[in-house]
Order: sequence, then C-alpha cells, then structure tokens
Amino acid sequence: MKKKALRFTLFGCMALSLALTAACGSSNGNNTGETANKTNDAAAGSQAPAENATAEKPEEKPAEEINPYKFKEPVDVVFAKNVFDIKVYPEGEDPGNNAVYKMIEQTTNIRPTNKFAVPYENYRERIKLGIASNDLPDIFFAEQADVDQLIKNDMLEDLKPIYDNYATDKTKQISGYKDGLLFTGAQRGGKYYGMPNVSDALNGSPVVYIRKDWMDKLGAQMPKTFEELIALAKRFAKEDPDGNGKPDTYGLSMNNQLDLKFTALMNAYGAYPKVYVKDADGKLNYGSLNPNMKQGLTMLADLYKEGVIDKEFVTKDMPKSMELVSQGKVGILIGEFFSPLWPLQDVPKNVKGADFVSMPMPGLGGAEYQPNVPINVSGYFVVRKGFAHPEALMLLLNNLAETSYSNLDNEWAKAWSELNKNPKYANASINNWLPVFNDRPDANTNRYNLFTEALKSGTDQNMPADQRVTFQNVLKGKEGDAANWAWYKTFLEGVPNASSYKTIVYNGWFGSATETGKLKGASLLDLENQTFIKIIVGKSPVESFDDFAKRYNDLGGKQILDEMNAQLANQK
Amino acid sequence: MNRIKRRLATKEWQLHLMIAPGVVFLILFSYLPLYGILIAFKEFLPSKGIWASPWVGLKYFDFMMKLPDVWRVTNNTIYIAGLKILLGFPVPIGIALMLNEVRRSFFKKGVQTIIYLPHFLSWVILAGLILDVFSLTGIVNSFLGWFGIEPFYYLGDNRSFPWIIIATDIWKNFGWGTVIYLAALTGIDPALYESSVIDGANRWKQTLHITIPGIVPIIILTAILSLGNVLNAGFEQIFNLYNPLVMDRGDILDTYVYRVAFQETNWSLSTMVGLIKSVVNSVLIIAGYWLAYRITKYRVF
Amino acid sequence: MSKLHDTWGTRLFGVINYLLLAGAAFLCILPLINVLAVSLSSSHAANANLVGLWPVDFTIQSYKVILSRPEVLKAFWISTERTLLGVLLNNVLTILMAYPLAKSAKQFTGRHVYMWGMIFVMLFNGGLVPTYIIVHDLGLLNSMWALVLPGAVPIFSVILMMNFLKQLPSEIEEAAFMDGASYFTSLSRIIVPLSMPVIATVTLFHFVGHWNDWFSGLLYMTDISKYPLQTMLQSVVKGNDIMTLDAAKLYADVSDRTLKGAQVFVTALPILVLYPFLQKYFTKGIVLGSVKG
Repeated sequence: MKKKALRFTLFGCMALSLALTAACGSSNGNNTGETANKTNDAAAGSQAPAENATAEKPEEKPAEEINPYKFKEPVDVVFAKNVFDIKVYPEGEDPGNNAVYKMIEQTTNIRPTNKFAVPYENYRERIKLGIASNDLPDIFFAEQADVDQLIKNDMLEDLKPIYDNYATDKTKQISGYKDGLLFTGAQRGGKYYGMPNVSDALNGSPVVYIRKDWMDKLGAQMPKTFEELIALAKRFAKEDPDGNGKPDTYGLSMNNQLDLKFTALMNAYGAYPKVYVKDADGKLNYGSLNPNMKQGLTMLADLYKEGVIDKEFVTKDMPKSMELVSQGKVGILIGEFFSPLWPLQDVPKNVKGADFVSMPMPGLGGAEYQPNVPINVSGYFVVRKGFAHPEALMLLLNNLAETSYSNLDNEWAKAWSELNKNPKYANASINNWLPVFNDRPDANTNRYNLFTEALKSGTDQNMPADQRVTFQNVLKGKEGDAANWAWYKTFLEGVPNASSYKTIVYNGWFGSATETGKLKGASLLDLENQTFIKIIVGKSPVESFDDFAKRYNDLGGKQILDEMNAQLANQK
Repeated sequence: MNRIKRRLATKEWQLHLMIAPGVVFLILFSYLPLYGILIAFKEFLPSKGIWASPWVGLKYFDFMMKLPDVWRVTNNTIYIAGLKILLGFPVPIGIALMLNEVRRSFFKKGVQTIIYLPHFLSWVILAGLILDVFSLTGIVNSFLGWFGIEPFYYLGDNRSFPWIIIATDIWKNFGWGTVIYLAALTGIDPALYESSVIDGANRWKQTLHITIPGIVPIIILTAILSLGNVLNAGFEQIFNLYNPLVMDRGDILDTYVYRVAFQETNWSLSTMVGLIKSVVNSVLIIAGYWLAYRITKYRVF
Repeated sequence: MSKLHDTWGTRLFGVINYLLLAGAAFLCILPLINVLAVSLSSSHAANANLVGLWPVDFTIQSYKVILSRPEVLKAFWISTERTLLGVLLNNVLTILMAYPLAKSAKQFTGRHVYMWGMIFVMLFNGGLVPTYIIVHDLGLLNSMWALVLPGAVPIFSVILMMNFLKQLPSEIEEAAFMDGASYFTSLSRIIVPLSMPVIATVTLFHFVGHWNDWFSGLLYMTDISKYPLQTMLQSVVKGNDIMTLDAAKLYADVSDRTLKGAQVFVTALPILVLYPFLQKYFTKGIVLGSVKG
C-alpha cells in the first residue's frame, strides 16, 4: 500500500557478480586489456570526424548487411547511469570512465557517456525531471509510469522495426519471452516503445517457509493441502512451539500492504485480488471483487481472532512486520525464493536451533494451486525520440544475450570474460557498471540446474566460471556451514519450489490508469484495502464484502473496467 | 532631529543599495520561476515546454474538486494541522519562559541542547519508534496497565490516531521552536527587571509584566506565520504512520494527492494543489497580519 | 533578581520548574539513545527490533560502511564547503535586507513594495521544474553555486531579524548619524554587534538548513561524485522493499536500520557541536546591557 515497489534487477544480479570473483586473473590478461584500451582510444580519436557523415546510415542498410553486434563507425550514445554502489570503482575510474565503458566502445563502436550517474532513488527523480524539462538521455531505463508519460508526450522512438531487423534469436528468447508478453507495458498498437528490462520469472512466485524445529517439537507433518497448512499455522500459534510458556508465537506473517502474504492465500481460493483476470470471453474482471474472496477473508478473520496472525499487523508495513519473523516468533512465512537471504537468515542468529523447510503453496483440498505472479519486467529500456541510432540499444542487448548464454565466440562475451578474469575487476560487480543490463528470465532456474548437475557429478568444472562462487557458497551451506545456510536454502529449495507451479495466472492489464482510473483509482483502492482489513480484524462482518463489491462498481470500478476492455478491444 | 532626517534623506540610496543583492536573487530564483504556476492551467506537455502547452483553464481545479474524498481529507487536514498549531504553539514559549527562570547555566544549556535533538530525527526513524511505544505491548499500554486500563490499539483507532499525530509532532518540534524565543528574551532590557525588583515585584509578576510583553512581537510573528501551515498537516509523519483503519480521520490532503498522483505522474494536478494551498495560506496570513495590527498596533511585516 | 525576594512559593516553583524541564529533556533523549544503540547493534538484532537502550551484539559495522568510503569523506568536504559558503551568503543577505526593511517607509521609500514583494514569493512559488530549468540555463548544474544561490535569501530569517531590529530603540543610532555616519557604518558598527543573539539564531537555522538539505543535491547534481553528504548518505541507506534476490542479498549484509541510525549521528554531529557554541549569545540582557553599560 505504501511504497512503490523498488526493483533492483536492472543493474545486475548480485549473486552473479559475486560469482565473478572466482574467475582467476593473470597479469597477462591485465596487460592485454590495457593495450587494447589504448589502441581503441587512438582509433576512436581518428575516426571521430567521420561520425556525422555516417549518422543516418545503419537504418538504411539492407537487412543482409546488418551486423547486430557492432557499429562500423563509432557512434556517441548518451546514457543515464544508475550507480549501484560507487565504492566498487577502482582508483581512477568512475561511472562515466571505466573498463566496462571502454570495452563497450571497443566491441560495439558505441562511445558511451552519461547524462547523469546517480543512485537509483535519485535516478527516478532525474528521469521525471528530464521528462518535465524535455532534456533526456539517448538511451535509458524507465519505469512503467514514466514509460506511459513518455509515450503520451511522444518522446520515444518506436523500436519495433529495429527489433525486427536487429534482434538475434538469443535476444528474442529473452525480450520476447512468453510470446512478447513482456513488451505489453510499452506496446501501443503494433509499436514497441521500449525493450523490456527482463527480471527473473520467479520473482513474486510464492514459496512457503515453515519452522522445521517447531514442527519436530509438535510432531507435525509437512502439510499436503492448504487446509493442513492453515491448521499447522494454528497449532504454531496455540501450542507454544518455542516452549517459553507464553502465548507469544504466531502462525503466519501478515502486513498492511496486503502483498504476496495476503494474495497468495486468496489465490488458493481461486480469487486473484489486485489484478485483472481474463474470463472465458477474454474480458477483464477485477480479481478483488471475486466472490471467492469471502472464503479467504473469512479464513483470515478467523486466524486474526484466534491470534494466529499478529493483532497489530494493520500498523505494520512489510519490513516492520518482518521484525516478528526475525525474532523467531512466526512459524510460517509465505515468501519468495530468496527469502532465506532476507529475512530468514536472521532467525537462526537470533534463536538457537531454528531451521526452516520450504514447499510450494499447497492447493485447497490438495487441488492444483495456481498462483498469480507479476510479469518479470521491471521497466523498459527506451530511446529518446529523434536519436539517430536507436539500434545501439539492440546491439547492446544482443551482446548481453550472448554473455547470458555463455557464447564465447562473440567478441563482447569474450572481452567480458577477460575483464572478469582481471583481478582488478573480478570483485567489483562489473555487471552494475553496464549502462543497460538484461539477464535471462530463467537465470536462477538455470543456476539450479547447473548446481544440481554439479552435485550429482561431484565437480563444478563443467559450469561457467562465473557461477562457481555461488555454487561454492551453496555447497558450504549444504554441508552445514551456518554462514552459507541462506545460499543453500535459496538455490536448492527456494528456486525449485518457486518454479514448481504448472499454471500461473497473469495480470491482464499493464497499461496506465484509464480516465476514470486517474480520478477515482486512489479512492477505490482505499475502499478495497479498508474493506479487506476491516473484515480481517473483525470490525466488519464478512457479509460487508457484497456491499463493497457493489459500491466499488458504482463508484467507478465498473466504468474503469469498461474503459479497459474497450481499450483492449481497440488494440486488437 | 530634523537635521538628522535631512542628512539621512541624502543617504537613502544606501538602503536601496543594501537591499539590492537580495532583490536580485529573489527576482532570479523566486520571481522568474513563477511562470511555472501556469502549469496548473495547462495540459503540460514537456516536449512542447510550459509556454506552448495547450491551455485547459480550470480543468485541474475541477478534477480536484471532483476527487471522491477531497472534502474528507481537507477536513482532516485542517483538524490535525489546526490542533498542531493551536496546541503546539504555546509549548515552546512556555519552555523558553521556564528556561528563562533557570539560573544554573549548566542545567539550562544541557536542557536546551537535549530538547532540540528530536528535531533532527527523521519521521521514518521515529515512525518505527512510535509504533513500538504505542503498540499493544508497548510502554504506554504497559504503563496504563498498572492502573488497570485495558491495552488499547491507539494507532489503529480513528479517534486516537489524530491525537498521537498531534502529540508526537509537538514533542518532536517544541525544543527547536524555543530557539527563537530564547533569542527574543535576550532583547529585554535588564534595567526593567532591576526597577521592578525595587518596586517589590516577584518573579511571577516580572514574567507577566516584563518578560512576556518583551517577546510579544516575536510571538505575534510566529503566530501569523504558523497560520500558513493550516493545510500542512505533515506529510512525512502521516505517510509513515497511517494505515487502512485510520483513513477516515488520519488521511490528509497531501497523502491523498500522493496516492492520486500514484495513478499517473501529473504535474498539472500537483501544481494546482500547490497553488490552492498558497492562496489559502496567503489569505490566512494576511488576515492574521491585519488582525494583529488592529489589536496590538504592531506590524510584523 | 536578588535572592532576597525568593519566597517559599518561588522556591517551590523553582523546584517544579527544574523537574518539568528535566522530564522534558528525559523524553527527548530516550529515543536518541535507542537510535544510537540500534546503530551499534548487529543487523539481525536490529532487524528483529530487539534493541532497547543498549546495543545488542555490539558492532560498529554500520559506521564502517558509512565512513570507510573515500567518496563519503569527499561528500563531507563538499557539505562543509557548501554550508560555510551558504551560511555566509544567507547571513550577509539577511542582515543587508533586514536592516533597510526595519526602517520606516518615510526613511526608506518603497519599503512596503520590497517587503510585500518578498512576502509574495514566500507564499507563492513556481515549483520544482521552472526553478530547475533556470538553474540549468544559468549553467549552474553540478556546481557549488546550485546549492547555495537558489536559496540565497532566507525570507523567514529576514522577517525575523527585521522584527528584532525594530525593537531596538532608535536613539542608539542617532548619535552616530549626528556624527555623519553612513547607514553602512551604523549597520556594521552598531546594529550588528547589538544583534548577535538574532544573528546566532539565524546562523543556526541557516547552518542546519544547508547541512541537512539533501534534496537540492539530488536536484542539481547529476554526478554522484559531486553529492553533498546528506544526498550521498541518502543513497547509502537503501530502500525498503525487498523484491529481488539482489535486494535481499544487500539487505542481509547490513541492516537498513543500523545504517539509518548511524546516519543520524554522523550527520547530526556538526550540529551538536555548533549549538553550544552559539548558546553563549543567548545570554539575557546582552543587547541593551551592552549599550547602556
């Protein structure tokens, strides 16, 4: 409810970057790199005057001449740089002048400079300011809301023709994931106003973590159905699993943002709150109004009354609600595949002997559980209208895709690998230095496969060097090293559980608010949150849901839905 | 006297010269940007700039007035902000007067330094502490529990929530507020106290007849300026503390507009809201100025 | 002020007065002790909200994270420079504007125009974007001047000081004027020395305003290496929502809470040092006592 979701995916995967430390460097590689850079500088200098003359060329070229990885002549591109962590730049290098930018110039002929280089929170402000003052970089990352604003103001290039001409198969595998679903937020008619910044498809997929030591103490079994899970939550709250004689334990974690911890429970009842679901006729319906919500709310109201969820969850946002989890007072956490890294790894530190097992969300009565998972796009890479070389973005994405799929025949991927072997950069998370970054949507599933393979074969020599450090962490965790417990739990339990769902329900609406939505969206959302919370804490009877559904539609909800359906029909 | 006046008249240019640098800065950084107010009456298209964007007249004023909850939140805003001003205003004056009576310089300086510290804690940090203090198992409920009072969910209740907001705001800022009055107290002529002692006035009478009148102009000034906050109930504070259960009484204009703007970044709407607030503030401040002048014959501006 | 007049009632009042003030101070310092304790605790204890008034698993990790970075030291220097420059500019302009405005309209033609012109822009502003565009067009982006010039005239301080100056009896300047002194001489020789308490007050306001301001750094600096301290620390302290593996990993390393706590103390320290120094100007009777004495 409160804070806009921050997405950190854009600038690289921490695990991946850490893994790069494994790549062993030699002074030899270092020298080569420096020489290459110097040569390149000289070349760039001499070719600079030619640049204007060739400015329009690439677009006019016939398809067979296109090199999807490299410009023939140097091209200046102004980026906006999110500085993930400034301290990782070695002496003499900074976000606008570093080995990665030199490598880009060398391998693609793109000469990158930064319009600005600031941390992410500030990055968002600068983009908004850039829009308002019509002073934008050539290629930059923008969140959905800004993309909408940019399209509305006709400030972006259509990338569809360039995507068709330049995107390699590997890029299409990443950006075109799920038949172009990821483009939806930046798509208007047949035009693509942005390339999706693809994040891991598992983000937002629910994983249930259960206190193993508590289950053992109560002699409980792993729940097989949703009902058993809820029953276990009740036992955790009532049977004093921590043995301190006080009724101070809780079954489930809940917070006032009504996020995954709420929606995942409702999903079990076939209700999909907060998202628009397509019905059989392809029409959108608002999931929060689904009558099945009543069963879910009744269940939660019961849990609240019985003290299975925190009596004060209404005043706690997600991080605040995690305090109880970190204290080891909560038996079941509905989280994501990375929850062991935060907040669960605090628990064994605060409570001796605490341990968690994990499982996918079980279905009602053992039926198939179909979660709602947000689509794995954190925003879009866009090109300023009027920029002469929009294909520069495709070149970068093509090269990144080669790295993601470890194709060392590619010039960029090879240079990247060399750079990672250089001890000066091995520890620096250089992914984060890139002006544009994409990884495979199945990056972590891929890791899981590599790791299980290595565990079976007993050797990690078959996996790419950049994955080895993560694997070593996982291995140590598996062997009982407390410091790496979370790595093991994340990759060998979290990932397979998060990816175990056969059917996933996606939000059917990606665009910005409709006309009525702009005016009434905030009040409708307030009404919805208040209704749900009041039913859960017992201030309103569950029957008030029917009244809410009617009021919601009367106050504009129906109209918003009609506008959305009309808009969707138009787009076809 | 007249000679001085005449002599000074020839030097008046000096006063204009003195004020000139400030005026230049004001023109550059305050007056020039004023054209931005036009955004409130235009459909702002950044690619065209402010001037060339099409006029939409009062569209965003209408939009604001049509927002479903705008009156409820305006009411809440005035209620919370009004009480913050009304109850919060006398506290720093009282504390300053109390400090004025303290003779031990060590104690006085220590208290002064400590009470102005909360001003430097952000609401993000304080919100976490306030949630703890007023939680069902927090200090307040434990304390009241000694007197047999049942634990109460202060931050989840529409009646108590605004009062927690008001009280914590006063607590955070009263120490900082005393600084001005402490400075004002230094301006009082010590001779007045000396003569009053000879007249046999006790310290209470001294406070009433010398100290307070001595700082009245500054009190009037701060009072008038604080009127300009009637539509500012404290975004940071409420944003970090409110929840769905207290929206009826705790939701204010700024938090509401924030949520509306969340649907779409809208420069025109936020400029319009800002403009309306400015107009209301101006009316109140000018009314306050006029009223104070009628009553005390003192012009603060 | 003589002790002769201290009655029993006065003494009782004195005791109550001390008790109340001590109570107020107590209420104000407790949260600060808590924040200090949190900043010195381990991240898992802080995440679990287990820290009261004493650190749990004492560590200075958060301070290390904040202070170990060379760019933080650079930012500290930028902030210091900006604050000194900004306070100087603010103070000079405050004094130069407040003095003429404290004169009557008879002595200073156009006084009301200046005054209400100033009040007007105190009440109305054009918003973020036009101000940004002007700073941008003046070529001030990324320079120290972008941080100090747009807020060079602290209108509230001018009004405050003007009200103080109005309280000064007009006789104190007359002798000087009789001797043919200019306004400039009178201002610097007579008015400024008499206005030390109010100058100390506005100095405090200006100092705190510049030192604590992170937003103009965010607005006008496009390069992180030019950030002032507060803007820099704002970026060290991460956001709240844990949406991805990377964010979870970062959050696991250092707790957001301990960092925020440490940030409070790192940034508040200069202000804490400054205040007692300014306090000596808040001595009762300094103004007129010195004139008559």
